[in-house]
Amino acid sequence: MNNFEKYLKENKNELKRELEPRRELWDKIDQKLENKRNAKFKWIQLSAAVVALLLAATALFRTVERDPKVILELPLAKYSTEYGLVEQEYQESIRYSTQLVANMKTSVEVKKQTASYLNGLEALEMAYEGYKKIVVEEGCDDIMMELIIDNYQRRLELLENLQGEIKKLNNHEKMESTGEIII
Amino acid sequence: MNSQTQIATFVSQAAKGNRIAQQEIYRQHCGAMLSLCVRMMGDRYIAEDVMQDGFIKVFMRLPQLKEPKKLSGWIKRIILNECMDQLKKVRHFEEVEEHDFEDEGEGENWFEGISFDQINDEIDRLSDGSRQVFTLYLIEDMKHREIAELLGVSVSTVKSQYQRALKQLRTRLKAIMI
Repeated sequence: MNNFEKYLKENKNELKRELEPRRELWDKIDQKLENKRNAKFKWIQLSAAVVALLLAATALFRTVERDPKVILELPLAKYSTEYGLVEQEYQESIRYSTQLVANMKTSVEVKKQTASYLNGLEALEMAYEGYKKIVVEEGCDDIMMELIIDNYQRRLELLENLQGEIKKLNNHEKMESTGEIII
Repeated sequence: MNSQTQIATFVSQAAKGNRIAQQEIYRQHCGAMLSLCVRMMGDRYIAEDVMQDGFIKVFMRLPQLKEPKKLSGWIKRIILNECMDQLKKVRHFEEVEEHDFEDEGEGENWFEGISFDQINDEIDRLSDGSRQVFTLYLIEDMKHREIAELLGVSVSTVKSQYQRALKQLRTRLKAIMI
């Protein structure tokens, strides 16, 4: 390394110039981020509306009494009354799916093999309790609304997968006991 | 609150979409990042566009950043990748044969008396490849191999470009001294 190169390396901080961007550059970034946030939010709203519609249609076949006081106490009701209704539908679906799983016959072995699903559900329920606490203390904003809806969707998905897994394992056990060949 | 805790708080808030935290992260890094973009792109206006797109990616991906203390390096990597994506659209990087650039006898410190503003101006005037390699190697402390991977050229091309940059710079600065 010659003297000139050494000199440049020793003073490289002098070569790291800081240039000031035009003022409007941040406004443009902020605007684009806002557009992306809105697009995401609209998508979530649309998904929530579709889910609400489907759940409402399901609810027509189930006679569930609604207590407005109960709805208002739900975390998403702090975001809006409509979202409180959506949350209630989610809760009913989860109760319904949980009941279906509880009614399924399961051997000790099947229970052991599906324990991870129940652990997953438990973790999601604990997370939900945490969200509820935050909503009570700080209110419900876009992010909390997204987290809560995501939590419900993941719990429903997990219950659905659990049902499928139990059915599969039960069939397997049945075939084994009857001596059928399993491929 | 120490600076590490402060950075962690800003990152966590910005990742949740807090605009004030995002603006603060931008304010702390935009000067250095714009300088880097200008050196990579060779044009101030193109550099601002690239930096704008880069920062949008930064904020969209912020929830993925696991170690807030690495924020600056992480931002630099995203911005550099953005520069490369833009550069690849307009041209490909040419391989340069390795040459032995003669080392001029420099018993004296001929460069003393030249201001850093003058040196910076001459760095800006280097040819594209030389300026990019010089910036990444000497100023940004990247290794030859890392630069070769980033630019998609061989390590020997990187070394040649760097030597060429030094020689161009030396020649031009000496001309100023006359």
